[in-house]
Amino acid sequence: MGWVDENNFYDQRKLIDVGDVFRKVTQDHRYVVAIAIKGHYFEN
Amino acid sequence: MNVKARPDPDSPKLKRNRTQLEEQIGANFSRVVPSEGFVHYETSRQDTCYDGANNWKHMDGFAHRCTLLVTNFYGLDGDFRKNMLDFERALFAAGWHSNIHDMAWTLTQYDAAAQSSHAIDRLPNPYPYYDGRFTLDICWKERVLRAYSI
Repeated sequence: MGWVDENNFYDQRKLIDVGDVFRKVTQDHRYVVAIAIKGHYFEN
Repeated sequence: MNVKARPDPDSPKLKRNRTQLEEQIGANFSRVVPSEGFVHYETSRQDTCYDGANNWKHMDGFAHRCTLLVTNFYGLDGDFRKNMLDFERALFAAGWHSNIHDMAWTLTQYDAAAQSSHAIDRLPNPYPYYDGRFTLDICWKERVLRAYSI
């Protein structure tokens, strides 16, 4: 749900370790569901 | 098309657009993710501006674009199939749609997987959902309770 592209000229990320999240969530829950919403705020 | 100027990501206009979009994405999450059952753990955020590819082989149709992607991670228990179908119902009620197959189609093999103790990882992830300028993607994984052989 992310992308790394040589065409990026601006890139600000707050990324997380998905394996770490999976371990943390599955200590308490059976399922992990990741929901991503994407939109564009500029285009020319 | 590629002679158009790149935008300045730090300009007041783009900052304002980015903030507005982030608020709309947050409102979308609030509207469609049930407050009960889905326990929120983490959020990742990716904010990028990039050049479009427009050449003899490929045409993006834009010179430059800025995109914000927000991913929320939830813990879930109970009847997985029912929870996901209910979630999709909330998505449709909020105006989202799927262009290809719906959740029921994705979960066609769920009962067979559950009966043979296969984790839901064996099921394909759902196809994306769309609402105007927004795209919503879902990924899932399950804590494996016991080993199984292929």
